[in-house]
Amino acid sequence: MSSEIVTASKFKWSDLLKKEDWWAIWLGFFIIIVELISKATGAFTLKATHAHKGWGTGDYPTIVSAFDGLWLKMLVTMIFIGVICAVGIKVMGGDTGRFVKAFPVVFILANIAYLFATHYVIKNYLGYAFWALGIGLLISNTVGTPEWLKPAVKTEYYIKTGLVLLGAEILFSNIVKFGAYGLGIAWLVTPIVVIFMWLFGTRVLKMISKPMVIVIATATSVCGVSAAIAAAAASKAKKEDLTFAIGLTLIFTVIMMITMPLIISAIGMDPMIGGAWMGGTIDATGAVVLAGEALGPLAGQVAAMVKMIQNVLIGVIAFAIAVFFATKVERKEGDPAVGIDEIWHRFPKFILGFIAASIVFSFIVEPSFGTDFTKGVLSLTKSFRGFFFCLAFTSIGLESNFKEMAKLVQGGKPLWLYIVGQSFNLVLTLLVAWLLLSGVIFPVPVLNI
Amino acid sequence: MEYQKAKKAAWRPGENGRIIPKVSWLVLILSLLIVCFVIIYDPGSMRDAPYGAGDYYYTDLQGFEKIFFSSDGLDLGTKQLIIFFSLFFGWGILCWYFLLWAEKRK
Repeated sequence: MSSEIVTASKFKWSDLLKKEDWWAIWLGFFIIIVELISKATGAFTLKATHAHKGWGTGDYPTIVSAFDGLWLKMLVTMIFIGVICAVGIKVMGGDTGRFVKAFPVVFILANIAYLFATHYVIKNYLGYAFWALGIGLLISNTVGTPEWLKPAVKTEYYIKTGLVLLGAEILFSNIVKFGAYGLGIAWLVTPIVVIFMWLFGTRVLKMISKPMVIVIATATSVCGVSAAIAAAAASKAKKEDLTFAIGLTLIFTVIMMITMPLIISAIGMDPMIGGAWMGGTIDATGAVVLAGEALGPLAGQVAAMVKMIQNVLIGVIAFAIAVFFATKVERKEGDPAVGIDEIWHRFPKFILGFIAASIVFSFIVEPSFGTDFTKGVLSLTKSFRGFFFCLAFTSIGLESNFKEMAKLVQGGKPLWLYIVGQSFNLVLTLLVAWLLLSGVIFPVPVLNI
Repeated sequence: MEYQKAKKAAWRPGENGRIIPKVSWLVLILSLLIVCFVIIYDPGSMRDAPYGAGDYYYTDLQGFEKIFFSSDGLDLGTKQLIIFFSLFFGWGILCWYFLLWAEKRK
């Protein structure tokens, strides 16, 4: 994400070592390769570690016990992430010394965010994104972010690396799990909602920031925070755009995950249709599964499958957004058509790593080594992906100030974009779920639960 | 220039609308109060579940393997992969061209 003006410049081979986008790819794939070796050989386990989930009760009743047996692993996590990031900064010509001095503090702040997010009362409602942004914003808008800390406040570097790792988790085999029904519910509705919200935000609301429109649209229609991150990076959104989108999605996810099962039960809706409806509309995947299971195992499974298909769509949609912004949105009125060269120069390169990781895991790793091996590797890479995103959100908070954010409030337009878009999403998803799963057009699928 | 133009078009008290910004604040505050109520009183009895809104992606869920990859779980699959993926990409391309067409009609 950036507010820089995108200018065309000829590709140079040295870009592969001098540009942050490429370094995000190298770091992402380095972690993936290390984890593949770890899983294949069993010689070592490298997993990013934070406070115990569910601390505050049971085995881990206090803050200190939240880190029981984890201090060494957390130190290893900090050193590993710090060293690989420092190598990239060194080769890109940055000041490694200042980064190394500041990084432990940003890492500790990210761990404090994880500490709040893993508390047994909070863990099911507000995740690390909320706390990381909150802690960063609190510091930057009160005491101010100290100059010496800024060398480690590397929002784009962390976010792009995290996205390359996220690519590995986008398995195309997941799309077919719910057959044509899942494809219909998840894929028929999603692009329509994105386009509707884009047109509503840019034409009706006339919002200042176009990247903000696409980030909110993607978060609403695909899968909340993860989709917002991918869309923000693909559209080169400003950090404030992402903060708004994530704030909205976090608030309404909590409300929807509580109210939707209650409404579905109250009106006696078929659990399969209800599950599909929630899977297609509630933003966060965890909230979808939780709300689905509140209705029973059938609704839970259907909700989970529909959401997982949407999870896979992040890859395709992020790619489309990157091309759309490079060829259409960033092009000024009256400019000639953008050629392949220009598209290449404007295109955020790390997206190639994101797509490549997805292709490698979908079509090479999973078919060759099996699902068990693949999910074992993913359970390791996801820990680093989470940490990179948490570091990114902490950095966004540390770089943001309320004055700049207030300019983008625009009388509440982002809020209305979300509300109108989500309402449209609710109606359309319910209609499609009913058409596909009620037996009016196609036979009702028989599920083995 | 574009920023200034869009800023002029923004809802501001006393100009394009006095009510909408106030309603926006009201909706936002009400939503935040509901969220606080949900977290404090746990009306859906969701606190003890091993996952929730803080798990953003499917792999974030504790035991995601069992939820999403269970062999006796939900798996309709498809025998017609070519048709399946043709529909997938076909619909995506159709939507892409629709978006380009809609953008041209400014």
